[in-house]
Amino acid sequence: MSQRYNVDTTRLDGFLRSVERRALGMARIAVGHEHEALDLVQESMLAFASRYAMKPEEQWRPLFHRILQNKIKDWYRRGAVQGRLFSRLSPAGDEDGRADPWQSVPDPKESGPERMAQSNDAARALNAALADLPRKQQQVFLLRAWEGLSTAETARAMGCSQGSVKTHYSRAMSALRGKLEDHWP
Amino acid sequence: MSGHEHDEKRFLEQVRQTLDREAADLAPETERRLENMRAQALERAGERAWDDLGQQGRMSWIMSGLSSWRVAGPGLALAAALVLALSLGLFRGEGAPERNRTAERDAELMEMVDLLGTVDDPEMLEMLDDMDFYTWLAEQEEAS
Repeated sequence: MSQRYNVDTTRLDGFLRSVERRALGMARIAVGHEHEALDLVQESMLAFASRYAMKPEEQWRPLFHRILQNKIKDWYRRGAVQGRLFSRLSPAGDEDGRADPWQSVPDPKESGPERMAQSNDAARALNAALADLPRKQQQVFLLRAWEGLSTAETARAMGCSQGSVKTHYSRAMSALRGKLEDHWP
Repeated sequence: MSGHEHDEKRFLEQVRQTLDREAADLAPETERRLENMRAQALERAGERAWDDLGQQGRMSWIMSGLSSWRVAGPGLALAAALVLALSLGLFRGEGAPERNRTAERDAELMEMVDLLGTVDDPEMLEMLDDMDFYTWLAEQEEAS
């Protein structure tokens, strides 16, 4: 019989609000499809809240991201079996009708037309460059650079050593800077 | 700060700003879905929580046994589970430094996250919901 623990739902709500948008962004960059990314984030939130929300708060972030990374890994495994991986490698707007997720890059709200165009180009280029990275490099980079996890926390989230985190991060940085130097010299 | 470090810092800031802008400007239906997801998660908070290392250790012991059950049968399943429990330090004695125990508990917690994440079989989920018997069984094994 499962035991239900008391959880501070106010703090849990605050935590989920603080991670959900970046989690969705990371999942979308990983799987290339917003609806599937939303499913992965939903599963992660439910698993986290039901099983781990009564852990000390300092563990929440790496725990949540470990769950999300496992979900992303499982998605890749299922995709490899079903041949979805091959359709993911095809150009954007591929034969099975998947929309190019980068088409939905929003217009910045407070810029003139020329800056808006430049900003959209840079955003598209960034998303394309991130999507091109191997999954581990991509996710390590996003966890460190965007989510702000430490090397140790990222290692816990990814289930690898801190040395591996540093290697993945360094390679990702090098690849991204090379691809984006026209947009951000 | 060197020139290289300054450039890298600026680059990272640009990356963050771009990604933050995208994350802030979601479609209304996506915003609604996130709200619903959060509400569902809050409703289920603590439903299947595992509080102490003892429970976690027994859980991984049981999970290993249950997943082996289908392939190898009960006897081998229990043996496999005992091996896993030993490797996770379920029966570890006193004396390990506090720092190592904290790091080990952390690693074991992550192992649990991975193990529980593999459970999507409804029959398995039903077993997990009825843990009294399996907890008792694990305690008998510990005592012996």
